Amino acid sequence: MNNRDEEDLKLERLVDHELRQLPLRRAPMNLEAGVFEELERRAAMPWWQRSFVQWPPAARVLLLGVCTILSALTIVGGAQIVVNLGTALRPAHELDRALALLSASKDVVATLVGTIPPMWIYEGLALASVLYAALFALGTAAYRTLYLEA
Amino acid sequence: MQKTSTEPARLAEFTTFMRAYKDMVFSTATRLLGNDAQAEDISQEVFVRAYAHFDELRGSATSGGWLKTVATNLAINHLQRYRRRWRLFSEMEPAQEDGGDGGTGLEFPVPDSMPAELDNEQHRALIEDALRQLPADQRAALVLYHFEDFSYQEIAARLRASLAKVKTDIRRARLALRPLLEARGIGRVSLEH
Repeated sequence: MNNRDEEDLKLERLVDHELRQLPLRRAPMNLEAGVFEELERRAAMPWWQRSFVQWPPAARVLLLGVCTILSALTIVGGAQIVVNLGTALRPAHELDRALALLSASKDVVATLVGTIPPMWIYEGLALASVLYAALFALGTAAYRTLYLEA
Repeated sequence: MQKTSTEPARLAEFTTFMRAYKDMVFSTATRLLGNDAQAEDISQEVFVRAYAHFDELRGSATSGGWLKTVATNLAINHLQRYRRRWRLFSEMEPAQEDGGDGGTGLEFPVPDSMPAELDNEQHRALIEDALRQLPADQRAALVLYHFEDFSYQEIAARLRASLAKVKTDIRRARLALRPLLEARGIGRVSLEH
C-alpha cells in the first residue's frame, strides 16, 4: 500500500466516523399534514385515474380483454393489408411509375447540386457548423449561468 | 382517503408510525438530494406508499428498513431523472469525467474561529451544509457509501455510473469535506499530492 492509499484510507475512516455521528435532520412540521392531504387527494380520484392495480377487478379484466381483441385485430388486419397491397400492386404498374418518378427526381436534384460551385457548399457547411457550435456554446453557458449557479 | 372516516384508529396508528420514522426518512432523502423541498416531496411519497402497505408494515421489525429503502430508491430515481434531463451539458463538464482524480473541485471556507467557538451542533450543521453543496453525483455516491453502506459496485449500478467515476466522486467529496474536519482538529490527515 503506497502513501497515498494510506492517506485515502485515513480520510475514509475520518469522514465515515464524522458522518455517522451526524444526527437525523428534523422533518418539516407540515410533512404529516402533506401526507394526509395527498392521501385524501388520491382517495378522491375516480378509479380510472388511479394505478391499474387499484382498478376494480371487472374493469381490469375488461381492459385486458379489449386490449387482446385489439391486438389480434391489428395483427390480422395488418397482415390482410399487406396481402391486399401486394395483390393490388402486382398487375398495375404504379410501383414502376413511382420508381421512375423517384429516379427522375434524383436526377433533377443531382443536376441542381452539380451547378452549385463546390466552394459555396463548403462555405455553407462551415457556416452551419459555426452556427451549430455557437448555439451549443450559448446553451451551455446559459445552463451553467442560469441553472447551476442559480 | 381510503378508510379515512371508517378507521380513525388505523389513522392514529399511522400517525404514530409516521412520527417515529419521519426524521429518518427525511434525512435519507435530503442527504441524497441536497434539497429540503425535494426531500419533503420524496418523504411525502414514501409515507403515502407506506400507508398503502400499512397492514404489513405495522408492528414489523423491518418497517424502518422498508421506509429507508423506498426513500433511497425514490431519491435516486429523482436524481436519475434530473441527470437525464441535463446529461447533454453535464457530460461536457471536465470535473464530471471518469478518472483524473487530482482535485476536489470544491473548497469549503473554514471560519478562523471554528475550533474554539463552534459547538458540536454548529459543526454538524456546517458539515450538513457542506454535504448539500457538493455536486449531486459526488454527494449521492458519498451518502450511499457512508450512510447507506452500499459498496462501490452497488453505487455504480444504482447511479448507472462507471466504477471509476464512483470512486473518483467519493474521493473528491471526502477531500472537499477534509478542511472542515481538520479545522475542527479531528484526526489531522495530510494528503499532500
